[in-house]
Amino acid sequence: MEFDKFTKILSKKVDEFICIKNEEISKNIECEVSKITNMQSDNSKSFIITTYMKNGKKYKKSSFKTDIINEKVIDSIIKLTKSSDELKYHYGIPDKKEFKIIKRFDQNILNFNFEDGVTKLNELIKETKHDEVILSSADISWGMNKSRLINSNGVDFESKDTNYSMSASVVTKDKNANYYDYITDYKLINKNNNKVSLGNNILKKVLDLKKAIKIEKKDIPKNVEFSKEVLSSLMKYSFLSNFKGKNVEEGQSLFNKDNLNEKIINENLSIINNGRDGKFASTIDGEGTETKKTNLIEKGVLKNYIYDFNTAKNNNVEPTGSGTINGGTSFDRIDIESNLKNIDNTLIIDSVIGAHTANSLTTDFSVQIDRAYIRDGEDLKPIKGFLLTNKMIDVLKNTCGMNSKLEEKYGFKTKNLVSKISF
Amino acid sequence: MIKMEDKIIKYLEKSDIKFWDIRFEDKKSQNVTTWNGKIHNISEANSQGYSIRVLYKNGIGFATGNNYDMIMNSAQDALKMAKALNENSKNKRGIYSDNPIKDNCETKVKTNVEDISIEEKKKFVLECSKYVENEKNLESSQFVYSDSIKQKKYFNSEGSEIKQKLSYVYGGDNLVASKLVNGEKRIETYASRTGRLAGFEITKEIFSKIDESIKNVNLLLNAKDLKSGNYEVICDPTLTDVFIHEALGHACEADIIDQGDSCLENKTGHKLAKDIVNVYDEGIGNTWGSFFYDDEGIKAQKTCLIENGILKGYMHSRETAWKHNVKPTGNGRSETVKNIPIVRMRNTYIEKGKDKFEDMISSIKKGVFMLGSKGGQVDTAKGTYQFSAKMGFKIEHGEIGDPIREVSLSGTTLDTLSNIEMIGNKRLEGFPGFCGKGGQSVPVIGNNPFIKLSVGNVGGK
Repeated sequence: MEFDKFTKILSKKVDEFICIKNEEISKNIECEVSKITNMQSDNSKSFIITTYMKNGKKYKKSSFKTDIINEKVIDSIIKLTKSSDELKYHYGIPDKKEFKIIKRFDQNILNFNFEDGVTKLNELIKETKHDEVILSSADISWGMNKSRLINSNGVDFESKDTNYSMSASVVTKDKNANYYDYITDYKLINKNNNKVSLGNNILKKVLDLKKAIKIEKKDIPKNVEFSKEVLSSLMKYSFLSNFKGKNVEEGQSLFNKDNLNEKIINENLSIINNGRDGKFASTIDGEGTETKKTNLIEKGVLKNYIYDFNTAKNNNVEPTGSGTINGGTSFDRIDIESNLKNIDNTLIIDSVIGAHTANSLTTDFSVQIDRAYIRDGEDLKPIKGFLLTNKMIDVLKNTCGMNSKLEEKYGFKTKNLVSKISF
Repeated sequence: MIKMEDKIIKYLEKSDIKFWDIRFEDKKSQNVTTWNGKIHNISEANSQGYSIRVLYKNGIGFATGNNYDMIMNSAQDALKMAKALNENSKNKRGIYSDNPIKDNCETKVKTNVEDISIEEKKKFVLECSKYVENEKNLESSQFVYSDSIKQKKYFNSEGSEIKQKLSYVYGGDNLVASKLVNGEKRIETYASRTGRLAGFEITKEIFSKIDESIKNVNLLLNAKDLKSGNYEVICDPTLTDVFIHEALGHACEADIIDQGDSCLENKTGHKLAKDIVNVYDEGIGNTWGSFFYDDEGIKAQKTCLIENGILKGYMHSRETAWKHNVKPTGNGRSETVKNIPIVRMRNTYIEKGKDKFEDMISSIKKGVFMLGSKGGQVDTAKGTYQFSAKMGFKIEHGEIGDPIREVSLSGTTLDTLSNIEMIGNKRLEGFPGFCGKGGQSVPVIGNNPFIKLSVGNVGGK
């Protein structure tokens, strides 16, 4: 059944709805031990449908995910919605409006073919060729996602986004050091727009790591520099969920409404949920609200939470364009801004294992440091890892510097963050 | 459907292909959750799709989709990719091939979830919510019920035709409790889950797990911090599962070995642990990680990884089996029909030993008893790992002492294996989880015994 016809029939049978049609074309080539092994392609479509039905003064809601749409699906949706409990509150769904369009589309990706992919992977294989190193795995993926959101308030928005990524993992033959990295963008990445190549970078890093030495506790600098990779994963697993409006409303956050405008971290730090910028920014969220730039923390002071449409209305604030179609919220790119200066002597924590075991309510984390360096200005000396236990909120309170260059990666735009930590 | 399969099979048979397989999958799942005594979400998901894998000389092409009108184009795409890869790659490629299998099997259930209305599923989660409503320290409670029916069809160039219907059911809780400790609000969480290949009857077992969560979340509110250091350690079956799965299991996957990414490369025949240690990965039965046939049409089986402390072999897909010149072990699994099967674990466990739990505790002067898992991570190449337990207890002079919180275990796979010195005399059902690898997530479990480590690096404060 055509999507338009489906939504037309649905509109007559339910009170409100949000429907998303996704069509995905993706291609992928894999490489193992410096040899290209697999080529894959996928061409599929799927639908996500959220419906609301009135039950007296209250509403009932359900979510349905399907690969095919027909009248039978509509019957199942209605049955499911009627079975649902009444919502505690419901204020409606986003209204129709003119959106400021964000484009994340590169025609070059659609013209990129398997032969081009093989050439790129062969370049990577060549770059990582070394007597002491194995390119254990690598892959290149590219594709397009065409998405159309229709809701019962007249929002009808279609977007076409492209994506491109390349990842590689190297290990030394003696297995003492390994390194993984990736590059990704909505547009084709080539040597002209990416100054350091992925292959050269990971080969240099893994060869450096081979020289890692054990260090005495007394020689560890007290200024600890969290790399972008570590900072983003610790923020994600031990801190950010406290900024979800729904979690605040339900007492599942470290903060409550009264904490707004209180100083919670170092006054030189600002944390922003930036839905309007970044490689994978989108025009609207999963409910049809225009995305926004929202200051979560401004110069150390708690300023805002992220909201979907209904939680925002219930809290008498504007939605932040962070809603997902099934009623949750998700973060956009997180920007960490600061005027703090570089610090020369630091312990750089470059990679950790176990960040996802952190406790987001208390912000406690206990991780094994996988890669670390001692920084002396621009000079980095690799050292062996050890266990690190702390609270993310304390790391952000004790921040004393920002090192390295500002970069967008891992869903964040930030420099490395330096914090005073006692071991 | 039959006509469509025949058409594709005819096309593939006409082409000069060494091996091909086609998979079809239909999945239907329902999910009900409660939040603080109210229904929070009811959702349903239906998906369908197909995949075609083709080995042409030394090239493998894999195409997928869910629009059946496009299936012939996908078959042509797969062959085109395999030919392109053959031209671009000089390395020998192969897929293990054997005698054809024709079978049709389905999960034996007492109460088919398809016969249970959404109202009854709602009633069950609401009963769970009611079960905890008088718990005074609870800040919030969440309960989940989820089922999914997967119908899979597999055809290949050997002439195999396999149909299987799998019924996955799980239920669980996530409790958040709080209490004022020294004037500060302390918040703790605990979650438990039961899941396996079963019908709706499994829901009766979930209440005993809720009891366990209530007891543990309350203990955590009074738990103390532990000073990091080396201790004698007892791991409960869930933490043992995480160690065996993450630290040993992944390093025993043949594709990881082939990538040079395993600390166990060239170690078959080596003594890694004491004689008492026997480790298996098993797909037989009705555990959360079980099935009848893997996603390459290989029958589920029990695979020995370690026997009497000696590493016996690795886990294989058809492709790695061809490379290693061995038989596949039924570990070729994929998250959905859209993903290419890779080597994945199933139910991975240490075989039970002879030791009683009480004897294990009484053998320790100063140690730690660690329970549950909040997850972990491993570097298979270096063989290093870090796992966080949900909670723990001090062990002093052979007795269990105060509860402790935020404890983790880290070390190297080889050291930890050689430090296993006692193994409990029964295996218990583990935490039904999902294992992620290569961007794919599949259901896995480990039904393990308690184990004692002579020394473990325990992280605390």
